[in-house]
Amino acid sequence: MQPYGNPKVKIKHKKLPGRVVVIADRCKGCDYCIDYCPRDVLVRSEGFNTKGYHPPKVANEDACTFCGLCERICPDFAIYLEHENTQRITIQEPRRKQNIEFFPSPLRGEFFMQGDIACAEGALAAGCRFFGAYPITPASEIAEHMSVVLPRLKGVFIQFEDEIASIAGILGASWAGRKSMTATSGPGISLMNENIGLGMMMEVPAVIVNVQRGSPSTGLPTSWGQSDMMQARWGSHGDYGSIALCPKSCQEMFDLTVMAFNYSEKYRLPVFIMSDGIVGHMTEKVVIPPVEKLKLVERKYTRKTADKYKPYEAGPDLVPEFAKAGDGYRYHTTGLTHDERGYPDMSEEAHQKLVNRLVNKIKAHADDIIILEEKDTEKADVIVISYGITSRLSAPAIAIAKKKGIKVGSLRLVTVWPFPEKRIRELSKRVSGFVVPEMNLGQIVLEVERCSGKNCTVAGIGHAGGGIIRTEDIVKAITEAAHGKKK
Amino acid sequence: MNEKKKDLTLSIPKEEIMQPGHLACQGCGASLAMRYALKALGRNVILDIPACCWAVIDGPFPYSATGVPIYHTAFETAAAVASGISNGLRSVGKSGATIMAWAGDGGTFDIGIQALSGAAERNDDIIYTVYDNEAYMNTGIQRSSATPHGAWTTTTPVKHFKKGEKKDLDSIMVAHGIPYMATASISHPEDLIKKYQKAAKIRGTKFLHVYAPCPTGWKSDPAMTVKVAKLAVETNVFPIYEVENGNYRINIKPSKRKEVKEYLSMQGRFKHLTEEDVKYIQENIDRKWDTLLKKEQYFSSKEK
Repeated sequence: MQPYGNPKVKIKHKKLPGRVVVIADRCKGCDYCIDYCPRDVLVRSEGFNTKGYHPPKVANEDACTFCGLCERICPDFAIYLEHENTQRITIQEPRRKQNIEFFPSPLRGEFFMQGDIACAEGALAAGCRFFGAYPITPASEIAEHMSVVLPRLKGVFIQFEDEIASIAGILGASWAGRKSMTATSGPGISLMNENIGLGMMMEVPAVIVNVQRGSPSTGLPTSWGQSDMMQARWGSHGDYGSIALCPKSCQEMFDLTVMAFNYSEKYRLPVFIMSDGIVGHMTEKVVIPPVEKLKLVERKYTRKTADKYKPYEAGPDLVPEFAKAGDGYRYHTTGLTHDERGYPDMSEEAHQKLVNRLVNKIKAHADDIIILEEKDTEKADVIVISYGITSRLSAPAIAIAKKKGIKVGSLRLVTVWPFPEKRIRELSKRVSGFVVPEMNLGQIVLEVERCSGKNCTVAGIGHAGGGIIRTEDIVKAITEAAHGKKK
Repeated sequence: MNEKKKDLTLSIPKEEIMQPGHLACQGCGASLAMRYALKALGRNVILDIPACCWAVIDGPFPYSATGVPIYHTAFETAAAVASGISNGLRSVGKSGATIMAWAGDGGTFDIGIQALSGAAERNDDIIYTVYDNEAYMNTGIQRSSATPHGAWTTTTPVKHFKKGEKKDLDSIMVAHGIPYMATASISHPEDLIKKYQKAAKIRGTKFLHVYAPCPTGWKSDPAMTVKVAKLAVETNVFPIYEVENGNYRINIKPSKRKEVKEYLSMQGRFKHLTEEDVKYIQENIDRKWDTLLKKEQYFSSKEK
């Protein structure tokens, strides 16, 4: 496994005299290396690096035993050991004017990779070749990575002047036949919402990544939350079906991005990836399979002749066939209510037919779209329903509750929208209670309440974001839900 | 000569309204710009800051650096909120306060231009300042439409550095017919302060474009911020001029133009440029300077 973006260093693991090398400009001055060094070899230097920190320097070289702890501990890969007989393929940082392919792409193999970058790589693997975005923390890394890689793959990266232009731009590019994506966070999504509705109405495939932060408004720009969940369902005005996927790890940032492209192509609509600041900025192992082994879905292009093609005529699957701009089909696409031919039609019948189809095309395929991760749900008294990062936060609580003798199961919503109503209704008849931890003050818990009715108790654990839900809170809620049954 | 020097020294008010303890990076040009602007405008100022570096630099209230009220607004609305405050105060019968929208180049050149254009068209009584560090520095050095040709940013990596000129927002604002538009630089504080004092006396929309180098994003030496800003003026990269009711006046004319290479070589963001690129940039700067000289020649007021 190689750290992503690190110079390729091949070291023969022999303990031989050598030296400790500090890449000063990478250092963020955390002093871990200085504090951890068992022999006090390193000290804080007086000078600054380009970031304005004091990088460490080797003061007591003779004491060094080349244990390599400083190399292991450095969060920024700014320090390494150079043994005398070490053979290094590349020594230098990726310098300008040097022709080092630092990000060979599409990547394959195992990487130590940030969630945002894994998302960008997922999009590239799925065939995304147009990316339009506007800088916003914590989603900027996706744009930065795309700006490096896309031109090399003959794709297009555009940094638009705002989020309104970003979403409008990717809808246009998708209309031209390119798989397109944008990435943003809370305030950006709020700006995009009008055009998201347009995309739903015009049925344009696209992927929108929302790396959620603490909201509302500017909120906590560098922190996390899950408070945009209902916005992904009801954000734009009007009725439409919506698909939202919730990754919990960097690996899933890759996998679910590929999946989101497949859904958007298959059902012709903008699909949300509802990540959050933790997953986006976390760095983990990511395994990228070869592109040939990924299951990719392409949109259904029409084979009808120009005179017989109706752009919004849907078959039994309720998804119309697509003709991309420039293919010789002359038609009109609009956000106005339109009939099968795409002509604006202000009649009640046309509106009923169109809006019903937009909702039903997702409802009818809900079983195909919904992915759930279930564990011990069959014999459980209490089920913890979670999504995204909260599923990882609730895992230790479930383990503690199990030790106490409570039968706990977990249900993780990989797909949050469409909501798995059927499965939750089924489970609600068997269990005594649901516990729903989430990083907002109660959004998905409302859906769980709606589906379970009076069959069982539903306890939400709200957290406004910026921190994490405490394990003891979840354990307490599980215990209470289990005791509710015994009475 | 001595007399002139004395004058310049006196033009900077001594009172410090911005206090030490702000959160800017080393050698931040934007923090200097605010310090001078507040010195010029006094304490009766309401600041309106959208998402930008200054939303962070000020620090968490009440430990904030500026001694004036701040309205921290959404990214795209600096000018609109300033309009609202200005007209709101007028409607409750309060006058005398200066309303200053203080936005970065991203929030002005890109996402905020719609609101700015609206406020300028209505000629609302505000001062709009853009402190221009030529990229989105707060989110991590992404390009903006104020980024000059040839510059590296994280979304215009070295291999695909920005191709295309900086948006000429000054001319756009002049075309709105606002009473006062001026450019200023932190390297020339006397000029900057005079312009703020002048703007405070004019009713209507005043637009000030302040050049504020960013060592973090420009990869320049933090100790050299003022020198970089000075070179930008001396090489005509950033001409200092003002347009009052359509009359152009170039405030600082370098007696001998320096080569742009000198300016570019101080910054890491231009490190990758070849001789040809530098030549292209030089030609462009000379062309723009000539245009500006012509504008001054044809559109200048007779009475000075």
